[in-house]
This record gives sequence, structure tokens and C-alpha cells, in this order.
Amino acid sequence: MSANFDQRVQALPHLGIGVSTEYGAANAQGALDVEALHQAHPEFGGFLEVGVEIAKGIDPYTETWCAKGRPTTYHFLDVNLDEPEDLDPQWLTAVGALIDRLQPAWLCGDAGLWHHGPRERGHMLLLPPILSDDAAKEMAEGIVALREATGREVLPENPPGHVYVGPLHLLDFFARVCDLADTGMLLDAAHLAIFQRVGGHAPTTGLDGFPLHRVVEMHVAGATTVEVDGLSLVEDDHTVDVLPDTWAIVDHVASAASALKAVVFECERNPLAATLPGFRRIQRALATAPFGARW
Amino acid sequence: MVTAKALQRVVVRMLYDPAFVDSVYADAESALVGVSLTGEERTWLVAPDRRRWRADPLRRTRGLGALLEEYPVAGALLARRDGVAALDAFFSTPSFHRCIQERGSLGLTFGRWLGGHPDPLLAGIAEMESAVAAVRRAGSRQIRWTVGQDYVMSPLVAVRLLPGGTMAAFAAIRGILTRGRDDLIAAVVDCALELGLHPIDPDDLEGLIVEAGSEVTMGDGPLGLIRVLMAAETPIDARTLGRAFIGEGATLGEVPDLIADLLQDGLLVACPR
Repeated sequence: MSANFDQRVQALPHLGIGVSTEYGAANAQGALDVEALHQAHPEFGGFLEVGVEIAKGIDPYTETWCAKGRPTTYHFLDVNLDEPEDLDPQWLTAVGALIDRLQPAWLCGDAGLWHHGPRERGHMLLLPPILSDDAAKEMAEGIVALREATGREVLPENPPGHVYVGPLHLLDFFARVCDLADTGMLLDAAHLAIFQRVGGHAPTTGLDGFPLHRVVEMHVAGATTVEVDGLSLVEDDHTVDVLPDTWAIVDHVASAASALKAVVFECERNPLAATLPGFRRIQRALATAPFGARW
Repeated sequence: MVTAKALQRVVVRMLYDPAFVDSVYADAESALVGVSLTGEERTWLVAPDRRRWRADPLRRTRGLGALLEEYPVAGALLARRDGVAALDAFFSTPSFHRCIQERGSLGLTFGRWLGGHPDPLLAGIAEMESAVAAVRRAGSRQIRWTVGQDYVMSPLVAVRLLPGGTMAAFAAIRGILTRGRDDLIAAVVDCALELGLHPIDPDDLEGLIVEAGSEVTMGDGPLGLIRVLMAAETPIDARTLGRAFIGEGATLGEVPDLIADLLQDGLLVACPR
């Protein structure tokens, strides 16, 4: 991979609008029937983003999707990109084997702390990174290492969180990561909306200075506001109730992200009928955007 | 260690331990002695509204549930001896904080912490369950040889010396916890569920061997074998291993065959030449 990002991104496929899953998600009561979505609304079920913990593998629903040769992306759930120890040979071998089965368009996933210490089942966390320059450098090194080890693009995603530590704005942090790793990014609009609220910012603060041409994929998801000790918190719970803040971010990014190739509506725990308004809203946001022009 | 990692580990500690949050907000420099952070970085930790650190009130409960999956019997005994809150208290112990700050295994650390309990039955059963936890993690352990070392106990094996009766007690309590119940963790913390009396004899030791194969197996072993394997828990030279055999009654002439037997049985690993 000696070419730079602007060259490499040309070779990535345009996936359209899709949905996410992870092991066993389809078994939950009221979960989205991905196959039914694909059959009834192929424009909303264009690809499957597969959340993968190597210890669990992929479930029969994902196997079936792959067996039909449909597009996927590989969303990791078990690697701390900033920890070189995490890219151990055993894990990398297993990732390689899954890539062979899924044939994902790229790898992506939250660039945060998925676990403390060595990987151990049952101890999954997901915390945002320390928002500092040296953390951005370590994160970038991990992205490059995983990209070289797998031969696939690795798109870091801004993780959710209730508490953020460090002097940088989240978007400034990821701008540094993208620059240092010369990579594209998965921008999670719902996660960004949460960060902006925590910091007391407007939803689109910082996007004007962010290299939106590096946004290859975007996530949209609903959230719920809860109160803890008198403090208003936003839970990224993947309902279909997308916050207005999130839509503001989606509209802004869609209008300017020239390399946007995939949008996931993270609604895997909701019945199909309940998800359709959200999908249509996403479709409208993209219709006049560079993304929509490629449909 | 690079500062960002040290900071990230402090963040994890703060998310699990409200008392630690209080101490960091009160005096970060004192609370973070031994953690290499600048004064500016310490200010980053106390910048958020401190209520944000308590945003996930079930974090400890979830973490404890995962730990009890591996330590159900020792956990059940601790809950009966000291109350369910004693289990949750792990997340405020120096053991927990050291584990996170040094990137240790939370599962193995919990086992060691339980194993330090003054009740010999609880400590012995924690040793048994920690042996299982250790071999489950064998795949991630690498043997680090240095010059002059010849043998080490297989990473797929763990051995323990236990007070007599510990293994029978383990089987009996495990049976009580699982009999007619689907939810093991609920049984562990249900102190109304009586576990019975299980006398043990600290003066009459028994040996435990745990082996990882297609599944993890647990059985008893001769004390001499257990002591020899314990001598080889970290890589040793052939002469020291031979002395361990002789200490258990073997003759010098028998040592090569005994070593060959352990190698053949997969209990011992030879240094690759």
C-alpha cells in the first residue's frame, strides 16, 4: 500500500446504505430482520457491517449473507488500536481468516479502548481515547500496522463516551489521526453529537476545519437522554429516535464528504417497520450530496 | 510508558471506583503517586463534571458478573462469609488498581485477590478456579527462555497444592450452585442458598492438575509430581529439575526417564534448540 489515501480511496467500492449486526443480534426479541430488509428495500440493505469479536466469530445470519456474495464491512469490537500488544499474531491470523470469509470492503471500528489489559471474554469496554497529540500518534501507528497486516483499509471511528479527557476537540484529534495514518475515517454522527453536548458545543462545531474528504463511511443511530445525579446524559442505544443534533451533523457531512461511500443506520434492535422513517431520512440527506450522485 | 496510556488507565480506574474519583478530585498529585503524569495532564482528569464518572452505575456489576463466571464457587463462599458487597469491593482494592495501571489480567488478579482470603477453604477453592483461569489463557502466554534454561511446565497445565478436602468441597458446592438453576451468577450471590459445611485439613495436602485440551480438565495428582511441576512453573535448567525429582525420592539414574515421561505426557516443555 504505497499509494496515498486520495489514490487508495478511488479503489474502494461504493456500498450505499446498509445496516450493522454483531454475533447473535438477530436473535433478540424485536430485532431487525436483515434479510427481509434486503428483500423489501434493497436500497436500505445494500451491505452488512459485521461487528466481530474474534472470540465469538460470526453467526449463521452473517454466514448466510456472505454465502450469497453480498457486500460487507468488518467492524472490529476487540482491538485497542493504540496498543501494539493487541495486534498479536494469534489475533491477526484469526482476523485474516475472517477477512477471507467476509471479503469486506474495508475494516473499521471505534478507535478507543475496547478492553483493559489482555483480551478477556466478558470484559468489553468502549471508552474514547485520551484526546491528546501523543494518543493520536499512537492510534495512527496502530492503524497503519493493522492496514499493513491485513492489506485492507482500516477506518477509525470516533467512539461514544460520557467523559472525555484531554485538551483536543474530538474532531481535531481524529483529524490528526487521519493525517498521521494517511487514512480515511468512519464518522459516527450520533457519537459526535454526544461529544458536542458533553462539551457544550453546537452539533456541527469543528466540522468546518475537519478534513471531510477523508470520511468514507458514516454511522447514524438513535439515542436516549437519561439523567444521572441531575446530569443529563445521552445514551447511544441504537433506537430509531435519531436526535436532531445527529441529523444536523448528517446533513452537514453528507453535503461535503466527497469520498463518502457507505452509510450505516445502526438500528439492529428494532423491527423493520420502525426503521423505515430513519432510512428515508438518511436517503433524503444523501440525495443531493456527492454520495447520492453515485446511486 | 507513554503518557496517554498511563492516563487512559487512570480513566478506567476512575470509571470503576467512585472513591478513587473523590481522591483524584481532592488531591490528584497524592492520589496518583507512582503514575507518571504532568501537572497539566492531572488537570485534564478533573476537568469533567465529576458526575460523569458515575454515568454508568452498572459498570461494576457487569464487571463482577464476568469475573464470577470464572470464580463462581470462591465467589459464592466470599458472599456467604463477608456479604455480597465484599465481592463488589474488589473494584476499590489496591489489587484492582495495580492490575489496571500495569495492564494486568483482571481475571487472574481477581483470583489472586480471592486466594488471599484468610478462610483456607475459600482461598483453596480460589486457587483451583485460578488454575482453570490460567490454562484458559494459555494461548496468549509466551514462554520467555533465557540462556541455560532447559524445561518449563507446559502453559497448558496448572498445578496447585491444596488443603485436604478442597477438591471434594469444590465439587459439592458447585453442585449446589448449579442444581436446578439456569442462572449461575444469581446462585452465587443468593446468600439464602446455603452451601453447607465442608471441613478441610490444611495439614493433609492434596494435589491438583488442570490441563487445557479441547476442554479444560481438572484432576488430582501425586504430591511429588505436583511439587516437581511447581519447581518448573518458570523455565529452569536440567540440573535444577533433576534436583527436584531427587528431592521427591527419585534416584539420579531415574531422572532422564522421568523427564522424558513428563515431556511425552505434555506436562513439560523442552527449550527449543
